[in-house]
Amino acid sequence: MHHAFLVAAGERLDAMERALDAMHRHPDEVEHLQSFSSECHRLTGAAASYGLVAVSDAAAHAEAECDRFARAGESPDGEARHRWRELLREMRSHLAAAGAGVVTGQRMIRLLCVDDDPATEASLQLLDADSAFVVELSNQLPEGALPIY
Amino acid sequence: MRVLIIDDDPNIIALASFALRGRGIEVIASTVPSEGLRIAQSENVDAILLDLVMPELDGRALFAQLRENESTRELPVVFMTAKNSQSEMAALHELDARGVIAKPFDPADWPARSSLTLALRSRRLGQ
Repeated sequence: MHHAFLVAAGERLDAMERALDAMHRHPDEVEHLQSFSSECHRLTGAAASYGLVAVSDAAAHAEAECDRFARAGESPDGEARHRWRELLREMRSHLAAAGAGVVTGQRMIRLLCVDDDPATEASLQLLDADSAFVVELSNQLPEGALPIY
Repeated sequence: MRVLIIDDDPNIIALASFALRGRGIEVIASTVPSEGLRIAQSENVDAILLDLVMPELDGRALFAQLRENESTRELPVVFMTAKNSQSEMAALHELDARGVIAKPFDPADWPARSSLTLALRSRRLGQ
């Protein structure tokens, strides 16, 4: 039962990652936020019951932020998406420590752009998910934060 | 005692079933709300453990349908929810449900048994 949960949880994290990628490309399409929030909700409710309290806590944190954006009718900004990616990374490491082994996560290539030239940003934003890139812009990250790659 | 669990997360159903069966309670379950509703109407169950947030038909809407149907109107329902804010819990307690179980729960110290026992007892007493 525990193993089945770890496998399912890994698949949920993959689904969350895909929703985040879709949010990044189409920030105004609300269904990606709903999808991400829904997967967070399931992990919030189940993970601690299987002994993974930290995963439940991280998922609950992300879900609460999703709820705030949904209630406000706003699209998540780059800072929020960055935080959620870090939470995903954290949850994956907890799953791995719990014995999930190689958690499936077929991560796309994360590209950090440290350039305030709008033309550069615009051209990088054109990189589609099909090309396996996810672009994060340094000027959209929280002050002093650098993503861990 | 026979309990129907309706929850879209099979991992929750597995854990709850394990905990209940270990206490001698018979369990039937569904991850599909509409199917759960059909089971509630067609099978002889003593109580329902009902998840709140589900796609297609959420727990509140399903609860309302249970209350509208003659055969399920009196069935004790205990909600399960990971929406644990005070306002959410208070709103659920205002419904005619017999209890609310907060998720995540510790299967070793699961409150469902007492909730369900109380629910069944109140049903037998016709309260």
